[in-house]
Amino acid sequence: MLAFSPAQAAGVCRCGVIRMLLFAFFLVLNWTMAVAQSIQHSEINGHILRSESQIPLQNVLVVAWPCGQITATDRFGFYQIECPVGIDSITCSASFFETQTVLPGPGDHVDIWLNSLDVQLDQVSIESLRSPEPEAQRLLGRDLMQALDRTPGLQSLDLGDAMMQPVVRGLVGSRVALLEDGVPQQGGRWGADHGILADPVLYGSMEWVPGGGHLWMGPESVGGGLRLMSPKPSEKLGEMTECGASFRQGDQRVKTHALHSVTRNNQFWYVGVSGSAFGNQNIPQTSFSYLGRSYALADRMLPNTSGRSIHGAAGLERLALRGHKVEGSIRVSDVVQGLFPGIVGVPRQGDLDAQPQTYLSGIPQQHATRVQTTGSWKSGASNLGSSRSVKASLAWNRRLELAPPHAHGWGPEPDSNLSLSLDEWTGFLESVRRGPHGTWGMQLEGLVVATSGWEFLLPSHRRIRGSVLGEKSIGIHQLGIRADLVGTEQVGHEEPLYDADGSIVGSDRRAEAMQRLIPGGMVSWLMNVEPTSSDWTGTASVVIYTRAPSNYELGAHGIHHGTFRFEQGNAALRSEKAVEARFQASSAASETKWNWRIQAFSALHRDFIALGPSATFAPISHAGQVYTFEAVNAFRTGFEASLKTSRGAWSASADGSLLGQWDVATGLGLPFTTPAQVYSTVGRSIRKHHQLTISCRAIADANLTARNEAPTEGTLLWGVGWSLARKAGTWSINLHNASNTAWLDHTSAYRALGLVAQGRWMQISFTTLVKQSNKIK
Amino acid sequence: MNFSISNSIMALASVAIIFTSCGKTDTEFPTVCTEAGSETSVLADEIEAIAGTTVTITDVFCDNEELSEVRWDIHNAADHSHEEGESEEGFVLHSGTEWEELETTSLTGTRSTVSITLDIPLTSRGVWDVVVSLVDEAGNAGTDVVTQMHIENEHLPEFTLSAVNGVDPATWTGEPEWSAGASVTLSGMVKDEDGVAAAVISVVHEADETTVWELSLEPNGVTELEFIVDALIPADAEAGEYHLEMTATDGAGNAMETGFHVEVE
Repeated sequence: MLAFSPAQAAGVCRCGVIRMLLFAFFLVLNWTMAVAQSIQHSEINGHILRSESQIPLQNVLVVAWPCGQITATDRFGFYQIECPVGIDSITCSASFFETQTVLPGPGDHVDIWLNSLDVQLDQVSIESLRSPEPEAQRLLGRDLMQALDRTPGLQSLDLGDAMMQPVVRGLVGSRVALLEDGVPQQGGRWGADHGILADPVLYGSMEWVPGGGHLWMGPESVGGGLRLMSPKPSEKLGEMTECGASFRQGDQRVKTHALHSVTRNNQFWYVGVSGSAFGNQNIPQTSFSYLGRSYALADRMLPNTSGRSIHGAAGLERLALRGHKVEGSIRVSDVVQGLFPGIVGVPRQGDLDAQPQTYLSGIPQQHATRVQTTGSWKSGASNLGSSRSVKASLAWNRRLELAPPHAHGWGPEPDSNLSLSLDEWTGFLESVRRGPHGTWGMQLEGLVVATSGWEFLLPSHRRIRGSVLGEKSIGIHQLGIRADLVGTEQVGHEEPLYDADGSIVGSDRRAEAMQRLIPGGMVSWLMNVEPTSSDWTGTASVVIYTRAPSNYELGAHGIHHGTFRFEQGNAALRSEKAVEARFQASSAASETKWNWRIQAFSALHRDFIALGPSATFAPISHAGQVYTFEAVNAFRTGFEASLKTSRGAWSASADGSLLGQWDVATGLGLPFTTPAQVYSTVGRSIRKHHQLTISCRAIADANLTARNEAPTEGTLLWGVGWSLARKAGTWSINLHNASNTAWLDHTSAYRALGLVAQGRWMQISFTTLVKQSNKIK
Repeated sequence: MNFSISNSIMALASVAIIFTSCGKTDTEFPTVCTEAGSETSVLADEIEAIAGTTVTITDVFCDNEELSEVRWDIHNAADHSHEEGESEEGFVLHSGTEWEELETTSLTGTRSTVSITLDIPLTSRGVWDVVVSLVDEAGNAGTDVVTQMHIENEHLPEFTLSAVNGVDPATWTGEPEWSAGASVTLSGMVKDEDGVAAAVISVVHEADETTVWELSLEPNGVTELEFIVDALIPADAEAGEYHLEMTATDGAGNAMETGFHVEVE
């Protein structure tokens, strides 16, 4: 049994110099609280945590003696209890943990560590999947695009199968942090439209975190972020295999996956693989335009958008002596997908005929690969309740774009199809020391990118970030601070400038060599809001943070096929600065049949980097106006709400979001601002195993637009879902966009070509979970 | 519990709303404001040109605050259309399609008159799009203005096709589709005032530029040669994009090439 020491009870910690500085930084707040609390002599507060992992435990029952007052811990493991006659002991009890009764020490702050019953059984510890961010929310469902589209504040960008690019509160690309097991994904994040390669079915869980300036997500989380987490040990020893297969009529996508995991004494491992093949995307449209040229689309298909994806994942987690734990994982993804010919060079009508083979694509084509390995070590908890962990990750990302040489424009025709190659190596190192009241750490991440190909877009560059982080909980308050230093450099690039006759008419200097050191950081204050009525809980937070410009924003200079624009960076861009206030609240889980959630934010951004039209045209034939990255001052605000209820066999839900983003100087909107929308469902359980759901996604007109950006009409998208749960597995059929409505997705770059989003599709899928438990020896 | 963050949020939001309400910007697009009736303006229904000569297109551009740039994009009209300002041309046998011009000129003030002079190559025949794009200093891009330039050519031999498999190609609505192993009957004429020295019709696979069928018409110097020939698509021809190419050389040694795209299934 873990000993309870007076030092722990008093919350004493060994303070280093940095911790002392932080302590001084928040002295006023401490003093204010100390005054407020010192007058309650018979009141005790503190935290209750898991002994082996320091994770705060929520809903632990706390009884103060002799008065018998009862309370429960909040999500931070915090409790506060009062006896008018004084407190002589405290009893803590929670399911699956040993009950403890402790005597208060000399102070009024008592931290208590509970032992899991699992530990006595000598199993691998079972950690909750709780994110380090208190505002995080779980994303449910294996289809990420569907999960994003029905979550208020989120939206998916359809880049093809297994390419993740969420839009979080109207922001996208490098302004949305994507973390895999806590490792920020740097590779494949260039431009506004490139997502990481990952298949959600090979992860254990997904969470999203709204808003910017989150301590552990790195400086890129301006809109927010997504956390993808590997499978975790099950609560019982044994093996578990999840398999699934699906077919989607519409683009003829076939997909399958298998994920096998084994939980043994002191060890857990998993291995999984998934693959898909998909045909051309179906759209209810027969024409589009590019650079003023109009083209017909036969067969209501986007030609040459077919392809295939393959993903693999394996991981091992092992509990060592003295509570130490080591973990390792490797993930591999490879995606080959045709590129719609309308976005590479100036297409010919003949290029837009559908290819005869369903799953084969020709050039133009993209080939993206990712290999990532991650390892971590975590110590057991010391007597003072502190622990340490180290995490390291190395990844390789490669993206090749192949296009016919005639798409090159003027000048000598290239002798290969390789129009663009990005070869990216990334590394990440994180060291963290956790204690009952604070966490300190450092992060180091690096990126080395080599670019080549005949369509210049981005110079080769390197980037390194070092950060020092600290987090402290003071009662219901949580304070965070991070100092960042980003160093980056890029090489210069120059090529001859040709005219239409193929004659050299000058030199086209596309990138200047550059070296920059960019300091930054963030400070956050979060308060846990728990009214006495206990009907709801929430958080309120204020964050000040910076974000260094991405290397794409600093150095891009060429036509970007993903956005159909000639994009030009600016090496002199400064860090974005922002102050953001957030609030979220949700109904407490209780007998009430109504559950609700609301969240809102407002943010003022200085030097916000926005891609806007310049006053010049691109010097090449297959591009129009030059779009430049410019610093503007911006204001963003938004509101999201969810409401759910169930009555017997019936259930219903509604999720809505409202977002505004303005360039303060012009009063115009920021580009691709997500329009207001409501996703509502009505469901009914039929007999014992059937579930029928009707959904409607209502998207409002997008009238808040940037310069030269056309407004988009709203639409209604109806869907129907049916599932049948049997012992052998679950069958489901989903119909999306049932009325085959042609609608422009305002957040998609394809809208610039007048290309509507995917039309009606129907998917039939089957998933099964096979468990085999072992007897505990 | 005591909780007083809402005032802070309200203060921030109020400041932000005040900021946003101050924004004013120029959002008016620049336009082509040439007076109606000019035959050498992009606003004309079409522009007539003769290969080997020069054509000057002159227009007036206007903006409410400050003009920035005008871009002329002159390119062959084959294989696409334009939403604005383009009439239906039907089937046209173009020659010298690689000729194009892209010229950008800086503009100043709120009204500017600018010309572009085009040297029409002797190798060109057919229809070219003239697209004018405008942008002002604020970055507002006007709607592209498009007209068509018809280029007559008295210098090169000229092919005409009256029927393909008995169908007038002027009635085609898209790219023709032929089957592997098919025999396609081509009816037409090749002519030149200097006499046609050589004329060849061929079918070429676009992917690897291999010739899968070829026939020499043997004109022997006549000024007009009517032909009816059967183009044979090999039974083992790969499905994909092909060109039907027609080349001719006149008595003075002037060579030309024309044709159209074909989808082989």
